[in-house]
Amino acid sequence: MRRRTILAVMLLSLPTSVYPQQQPVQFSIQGTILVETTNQPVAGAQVSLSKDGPSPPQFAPVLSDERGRFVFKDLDEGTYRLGALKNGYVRGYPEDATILRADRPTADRTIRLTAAATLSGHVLDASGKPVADVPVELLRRTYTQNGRSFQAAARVMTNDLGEYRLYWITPGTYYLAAGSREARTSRSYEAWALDEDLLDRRNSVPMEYGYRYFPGVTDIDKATMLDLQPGSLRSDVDFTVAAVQLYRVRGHLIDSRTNQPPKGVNFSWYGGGNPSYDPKTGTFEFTNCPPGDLGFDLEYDSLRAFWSVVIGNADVEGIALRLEPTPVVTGRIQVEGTLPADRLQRIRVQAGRAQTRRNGVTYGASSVEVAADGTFTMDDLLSTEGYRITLSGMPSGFYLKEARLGGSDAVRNYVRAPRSTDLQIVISSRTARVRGVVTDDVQKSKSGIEVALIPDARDRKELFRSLVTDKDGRFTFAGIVPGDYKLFAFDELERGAYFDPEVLAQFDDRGKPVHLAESADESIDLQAILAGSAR
Amino acid sequence: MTWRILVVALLLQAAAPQRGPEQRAQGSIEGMIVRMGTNEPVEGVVRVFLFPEAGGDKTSSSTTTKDGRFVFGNLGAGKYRLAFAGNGYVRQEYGQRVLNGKGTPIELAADQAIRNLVVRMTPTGAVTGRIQDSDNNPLPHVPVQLLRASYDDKGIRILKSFGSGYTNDRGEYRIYFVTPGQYYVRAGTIPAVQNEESWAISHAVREPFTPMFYPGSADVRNAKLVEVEPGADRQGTDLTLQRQQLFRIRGRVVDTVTGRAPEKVWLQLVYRNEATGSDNWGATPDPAYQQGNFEFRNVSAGTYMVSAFLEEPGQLKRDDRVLIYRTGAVPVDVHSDIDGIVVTLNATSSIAGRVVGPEGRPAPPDIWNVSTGGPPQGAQLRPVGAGPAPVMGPQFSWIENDGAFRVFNLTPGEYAFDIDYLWDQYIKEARFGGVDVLNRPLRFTGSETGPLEIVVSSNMGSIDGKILNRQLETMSAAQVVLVPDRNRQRAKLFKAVITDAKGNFSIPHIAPGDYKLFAWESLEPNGYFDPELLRRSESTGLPVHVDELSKQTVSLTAMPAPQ
Repeated sequence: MRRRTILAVMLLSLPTSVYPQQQPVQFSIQGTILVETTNQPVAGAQVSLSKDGPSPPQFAPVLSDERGRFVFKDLDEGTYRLGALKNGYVRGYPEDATILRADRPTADRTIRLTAAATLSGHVLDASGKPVADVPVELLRRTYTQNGRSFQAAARVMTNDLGEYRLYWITPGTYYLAAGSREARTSRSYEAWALDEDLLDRRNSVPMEYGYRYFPGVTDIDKATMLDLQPGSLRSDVDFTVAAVQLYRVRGHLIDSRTNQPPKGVNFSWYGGGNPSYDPKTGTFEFTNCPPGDLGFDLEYDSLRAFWSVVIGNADVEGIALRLEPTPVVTGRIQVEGTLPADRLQRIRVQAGRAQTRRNGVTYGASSVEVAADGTFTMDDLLSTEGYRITLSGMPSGFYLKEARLGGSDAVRNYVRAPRSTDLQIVISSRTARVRGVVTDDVQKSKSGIEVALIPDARDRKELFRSLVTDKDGRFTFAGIVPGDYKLFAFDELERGAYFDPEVLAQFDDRGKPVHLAESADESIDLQAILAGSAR
Repeated sequence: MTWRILVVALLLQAAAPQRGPEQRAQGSIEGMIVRMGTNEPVEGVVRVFLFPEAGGDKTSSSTTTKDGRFVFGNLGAGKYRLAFAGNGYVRQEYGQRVLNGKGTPIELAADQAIRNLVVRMTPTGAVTGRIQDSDNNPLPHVPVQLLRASYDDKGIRILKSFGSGYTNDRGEYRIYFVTPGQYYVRAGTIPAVQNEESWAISHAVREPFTPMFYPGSADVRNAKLVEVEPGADRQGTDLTLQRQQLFRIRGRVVDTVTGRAPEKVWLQLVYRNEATGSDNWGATPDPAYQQGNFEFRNVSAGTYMVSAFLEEPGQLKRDDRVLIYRTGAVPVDVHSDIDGIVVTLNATSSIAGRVVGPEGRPAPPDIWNVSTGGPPQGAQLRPVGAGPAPVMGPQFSWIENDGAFRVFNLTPGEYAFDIDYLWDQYIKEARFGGVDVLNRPLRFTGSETGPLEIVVSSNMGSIDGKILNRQLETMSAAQVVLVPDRNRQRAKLFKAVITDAKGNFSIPHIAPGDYKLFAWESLEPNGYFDPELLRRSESTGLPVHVDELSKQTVSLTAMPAPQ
């Protein structure tokens, strides 16, 4: 025991005894926190330090002093990352890591903080009175497969004076909106009234206001975009909202087998409103519906019906709906190429409907598992609705080549199945490849350029592909579904903006058409399109 | 994108709207809402709720017209409650005598039309101020609360929140729609208050601040009440806060059964939530635990219980039996970093018990609110003491047909025995080893004595009566409270009701014993648990003796609540 202890001490002392003359190296990082535009020092910023690698040590954050200076001492060799946080500024950090080595044990870094922006104002009703407890959102535009979308970068509620105040905002361009995106309905008022625990808010009453964009419009394309500069303070951004009027949607149901009202019904719906059904009279009703889309599936004992409406400014009456039996669709997946025997079971067949809401999300899709032999049965499709077929859980390198529902192409079109029929699906491994180099107008290769491969069938968002060119300006798209495409190389376009048909239309004639046959391997060079500030 | 699903099947048919002219009732209630102290209609929209006294889900609501009028038509005969809520006004019930108090129902005869109800609504107030540090820097995103000393329905004194908000980047806060009255204002980081999810906080420096009461004390006894007037802003309610020091608690866990540190153990830091009187642990940080050593970080100063437990190995997990734990708990007062806490896990004990009816017959199992076996609902042995209790406490087994049960997971200590949810029965006796544990704590030394014998009875008394005002007219919405002469720590012996529109009240299901009956013109909810209020009112109480199955009728004059 004793011997072992001594040995350990000897081992630990070895480095210093081998180099007795050399001072131990002191590793440290110091630096300065400055305001981005003015280069004024920032005092009291919280500076954090982390080290790369497995189970790195924890470092307590330090505060910058009056001159904006900070220091981390007693470090060791390694790669470090700095960050600085100060209320009223955007979080700042150097883009590159700080590397400490024996030959370069110290570093002095400058972190520049951008002053955040502030936005405040009032929300008023049509008579100019303040509106309390209404959400106000600051929206940032992003692009997804469904086109443009607007994400809330900040959200606050107005107070009793109708005031809102959004602070510590990262500078940039935003839209501002107030009101409820999805209206609650008056049933929730009643639940609220019964809730004894809402002590904090017991003296307010929930009100629904329609969603409006500054300066008070319902269409975001008519809204004013706000450009919030670093350190800016806007305190005059007032706008007006209107209380939501609620409507009623009513009709009758018939069981197509008995010509009598069904004895009960399941509702699945999107949009607002509270459904109810009286089996004695066959009357169904959605109460408290806000204006906008309402769509609902009705189901009773393997009978189904669907109906949708855009509610304007009136009740909707007199809908007559027959619940019909659903067709039985049987099918099989055939494979072009080689696939392990049990692989087909991991595929799901999905049937999506044509109707979509404004934000482009599909609803009410049906989905079914595939048996080991590639067969499947779908029995919940509506006979009145068109469906398009997609597959999930596809083996890599394969694509959906064909789906024929009752003989019609259900890959590219929405197809109805009015009665029981078959669905023949073909998947294939004969995908295509396309590659090339992106150059600028003087034939110099350009790295970091976003290249988009966009199908001529623009509604097939699942075929859109994009990547960024490598350091030599090269790009390669592999595993592409054969077909007709255009290739674009966008310089300085907001990421994903090509999903917006209006944006894409500006550049359409500058895309390079390419036909990709089965198993094709094409090579096409592109010239970068300077997209700049396209909206 | 929302895709909602509802099943409206035959079972739910009753909820479907009943239409058809032949069924349509002709009763109606109409009225007008005016601003308190005026005859002017209220500004803005007031939502009016109509609750049929009989059924819960038939609530309907409507909003007032521009001239402050409301109307409910097609009402059947029955009793209805009306409630009113509007931004800027105190939410109220029709007929209530105190802000936030209970109202009286309106009785509607068949096809009767009640017109010209006048409802006076009180404007709310607001409290505003600025929270800063000792260098006058504004403190952003600090929680601010309006509190009032109050009692919960168990008679426990609590600091109840009547409004809250957060400071903005300028350190300003505004708490609005406040019911007029007197409040404490407190700002700072409170363990029980979860920091709201906020966009701002995600890129903000978060700092804890020691909670302070206005005008500048950590102790509520030195706090000043802030008066909120109807329709007015109470401005300048400013506070200066100190950055809160956070501490760590380090220690180890020893399992006395194995003599070793457990590989895995549940560890919680429990604190008492003064706003609810209950114990919390969810908001405290999870500890680091490795090989018997634990560390809680970022703990604010206060009184805590480090509570540890683990499941006894080899138990079957079945619904009908209680899981048995090894438990351990150590109280800690945190004012600095704490090291060397040792939590010893011990095997727990169990005791036998039996519940019988008044003649010694086995009590039907439904006294525990279960029809055929099952765990007894609401039976509890609660550790007695001012500090927070361990997470894992005594648990009752299922009850056998002869009334036998066991209580598991007991550790030595004192416990208060009670059964919640008893409605038309009462605990006549409860003894442990022959000693009364109904009015005194149950002392458990660690080895089984007992059993715990419980006698329940449905032979309860009742009191009906009428309340008069000082002009000897009948008084609606008066607060009637039956208070036990002895054992006032047993909150369930208190019975509180409100008189109806004709001044009548009825108190059913009273455990036999000696009581005093009080009637107050108005009282804050649960205010009768205040011993000081009872002391000052004692002489106005009417002594009543309640025998088994007795019925009595009394008449009493309501008194103003002592100030």
